[in-house]
Amino acid sequence: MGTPVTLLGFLWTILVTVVAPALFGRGLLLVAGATGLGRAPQWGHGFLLGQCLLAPLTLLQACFDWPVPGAMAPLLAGAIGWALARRAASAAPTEAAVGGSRAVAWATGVAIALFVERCLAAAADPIRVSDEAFNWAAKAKALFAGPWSRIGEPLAHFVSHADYPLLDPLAQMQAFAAAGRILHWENRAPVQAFGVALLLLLGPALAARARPVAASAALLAFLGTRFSTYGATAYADVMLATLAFGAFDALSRARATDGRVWWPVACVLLAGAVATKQEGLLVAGAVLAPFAAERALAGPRRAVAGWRRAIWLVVPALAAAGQARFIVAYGLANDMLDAPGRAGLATRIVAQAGTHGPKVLDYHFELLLDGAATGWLPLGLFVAAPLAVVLRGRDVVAGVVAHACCACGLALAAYMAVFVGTVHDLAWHLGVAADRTTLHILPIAALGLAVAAAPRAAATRGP
Amino acid sequence: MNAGAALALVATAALAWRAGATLVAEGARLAAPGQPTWRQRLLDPTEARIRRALGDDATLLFALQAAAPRPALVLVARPDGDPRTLTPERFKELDRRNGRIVQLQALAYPDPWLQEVADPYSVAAGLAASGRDVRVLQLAGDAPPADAAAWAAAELPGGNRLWARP
Repeated sequence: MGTPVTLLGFLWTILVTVVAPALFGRGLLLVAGATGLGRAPQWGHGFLLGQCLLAPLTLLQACFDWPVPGAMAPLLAGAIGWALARRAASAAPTEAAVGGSRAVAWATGVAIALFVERCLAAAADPIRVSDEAFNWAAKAKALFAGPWSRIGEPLAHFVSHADYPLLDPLAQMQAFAAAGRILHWENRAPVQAFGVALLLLLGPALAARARPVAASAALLAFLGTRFSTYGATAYADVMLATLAFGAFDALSRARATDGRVWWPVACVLLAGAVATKQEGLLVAGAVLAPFAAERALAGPRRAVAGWRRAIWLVVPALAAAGQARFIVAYGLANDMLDAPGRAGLATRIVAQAGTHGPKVLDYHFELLLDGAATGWLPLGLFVAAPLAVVLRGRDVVAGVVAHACCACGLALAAYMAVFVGTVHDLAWHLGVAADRTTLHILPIAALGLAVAAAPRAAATRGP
Repeated sequence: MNAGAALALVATAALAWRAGATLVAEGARLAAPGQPTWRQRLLDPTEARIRRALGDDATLLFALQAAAPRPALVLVARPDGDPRTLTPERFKELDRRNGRIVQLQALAYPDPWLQEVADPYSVAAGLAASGRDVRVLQLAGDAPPADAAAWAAAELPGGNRLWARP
């Protein structure tokens, strides 16, 4: 027998874990002066910012075994965000919802509707198998149930890969805190909401820079990748893809403006990426590198001019330090970085390059050709960008295409190196992980490909 | 048509092909039989979702939760066997058992914390001696404790038992 009480409980979870963080982040963004931002990116960036900023608060409450009702902090933050947004003169968007293209707006709406339908279908089944249960939900349950003074024991024996970072479990813990008890399916909602946020960011980014047909097709092609499969679960991979794309978008906006608002936002989202998965550090570095290199190559005057803003890099550094401290505090170890009795990762990469290198390259080449896995997006980017340089000149690919090529190329190369240095059976490791690691850069690849192939005339160098 | 326009056309056509493939796949998924109903997605209480997912084991899960609430630690024998020497039938049997246990474990925690160990009765005896609330879940087909007289048994559905040191 169904009951409306279940539905009301689910809506309450969504209010506390999705709406409240989005209101909070959006309010901060608008009051900080993110002028001219369309409604979709306001909510997309707002949600990411809200989640990243509320997560430490959730951790703090867990550390003190929930001294106040768990829903209080997100709801209070949401109310503050709502008030801030009302006060901000810039709350009225000057960008149209998705860059002014009706076709892309429709494609975005269809993509979100299909994705949400998948998420609701997943809700019929409780979290009970695979990494979704044993890594992510198990860690959230162990940290939520406490008592904090004794969590070392369940971390060591109940949670698989307890060394993995905390943002995904903390998002699920918000759901537990909202209900005041452990949940078994509703806790997917805050993690799934990262997928919606990604579509809210990707649609407008494509519409602003690529012609409507190419932009709409790229968005739907992206929807058909592993994004939909993993995004409907509590796996952290779509979270990482979303935070990487959010940081990429914020860095592009910082580059096109004075950076006062968007550089701090980018640093918070990079911190979120670092706090999502072990490989978040790798992805954050790959996203940041082309922007940093461009700044450095622009000459010493320009590089020095922004040195004060570099202080914001402390935020992702703190996320990395916090993660390292958690690992040390509970005696945890990572199977790839701290494999007991094995050489370090770098040494293994060199030692195994001859045996593993060709197999890793071969596997990734097949993955890039697999339309159902990657939508041909990275492959298309790596082919279309050089062709666009030859056919249209360097100006066309300067900016977002060049950044996307560098970020995707660096991330893929680094991931392949990590696979070469694996401590596991190589075929097994590639089979269970390579499609998910490639997923992390797919939204950036989709944007780069659409802009390289069919740029909007006035926006080839814009954010 | 110039070369730049040709690049745009080819790339957009490839993207449109993938977009079309996405829409076809999504349409097939939505039309496929066995999709959960809207009642199952939005209205069913968690207990009904667990019953649908676990089948008969849901009854065991709920009975276990009633019999050994937090902070009880419930130990269960870990399936053992060398995969290189197992017969396919024995492998399937162990795989099925492992699947049961990990799902019960995921859905039970922390009421109770169900943990697999190689020798549950001796581990439980040791922990109980140090004052820990610990029980042993004997799944149907598992061996009872060798010193059964020193333990108290509670019957669980499906021929399963929960043992505790009095």
